[in-house]
Amino acid sequence: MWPICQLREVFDNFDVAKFANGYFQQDLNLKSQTSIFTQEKMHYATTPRLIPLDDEEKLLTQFIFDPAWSFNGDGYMHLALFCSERYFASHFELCSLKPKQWILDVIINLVVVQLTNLERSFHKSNHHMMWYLPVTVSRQILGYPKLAEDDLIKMCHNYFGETNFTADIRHCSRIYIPTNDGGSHWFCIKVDMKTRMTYIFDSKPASRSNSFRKQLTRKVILGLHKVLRLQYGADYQQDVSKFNIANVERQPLQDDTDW
Amino acid sequence: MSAEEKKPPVGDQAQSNQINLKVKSQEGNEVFFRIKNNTQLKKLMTAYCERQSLDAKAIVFLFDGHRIKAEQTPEQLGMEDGDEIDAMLHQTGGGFGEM
Repeated sequence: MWPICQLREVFDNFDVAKFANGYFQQDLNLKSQTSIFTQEKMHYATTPRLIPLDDEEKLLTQFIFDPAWSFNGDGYMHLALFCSERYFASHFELCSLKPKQWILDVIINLVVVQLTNLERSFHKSNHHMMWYLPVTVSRQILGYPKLAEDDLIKMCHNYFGETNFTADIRHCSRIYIPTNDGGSHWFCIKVDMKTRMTYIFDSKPASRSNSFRKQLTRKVILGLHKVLRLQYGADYQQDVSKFNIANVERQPLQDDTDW
Repeated sequence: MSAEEKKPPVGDQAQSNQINLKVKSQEGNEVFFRIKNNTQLKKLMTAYCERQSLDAKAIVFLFDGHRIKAEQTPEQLGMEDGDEIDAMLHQTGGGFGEM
């Protein structure tokens, strides 16, 4: 997962242990900010479990976040530091995880890959039940509201099926779809196939934006319905576009700041 | 045989090593490129960004839903003539207050 060989070339004589104690607290903070919450484990939201970083993670964290490692020009800015088969993130893109920065879609997609792999590891038969879709899905649905046949076929080919992010629809219990609002806010749509409900996870709900995000959610779900119908045919029994939409209550909220 | 007459076969050979690729933006605009199978796609990406006046850091190129690395070639990705690449500007977000 970590292409650390590239980093090793950069820091040939870098002493990891030297920094371990000094940055431990900082590392923990960074880790806690990227913890993943689910509705079932919502009570962990205020007290996320902190997982200590290993040496390689510390080195990578150091490389990305420590201002002491500032670079002349953008020599390392394009260096791919975090790779999966499908996505990667450059040094520049990982910097969007710094405090008070807006997060890039690239980072969310990497988390999607990680969660999908984790979920698949629990279901050896490839019938994983919780599906996580990359940002591109909601983006393309919202970008092409009419969703012509070609668009739907392309989306099925690129993101659905066992070679991509989904599996057998008959075993699917939930679908998570990260979505962007106006290029300035992320929220996550959860389609619950068991309760036939669609939920919105929004860390910054407000009466006016709630209504707009519900509209976006409805469009995304309608697009998802078309894609699922094409991808799974008769196996797709439930019409997700008819599910009611509700905001998740008692969800983790952002501080009331302008970022 | 004149020099002009000799050119076509050479051209054909060169052409067989080239493919036409379409780069499609999120807005649906399409830009066409002709590139050698073994040329790094960095060349195409740079040309696209220059033509569209875009910052290369602000854009992601996807093929079949996979992000393209600059050093990859069409051959490595199994690209065929007429294939489509999606060019997507980074989306970003945090939270914002009520307007």
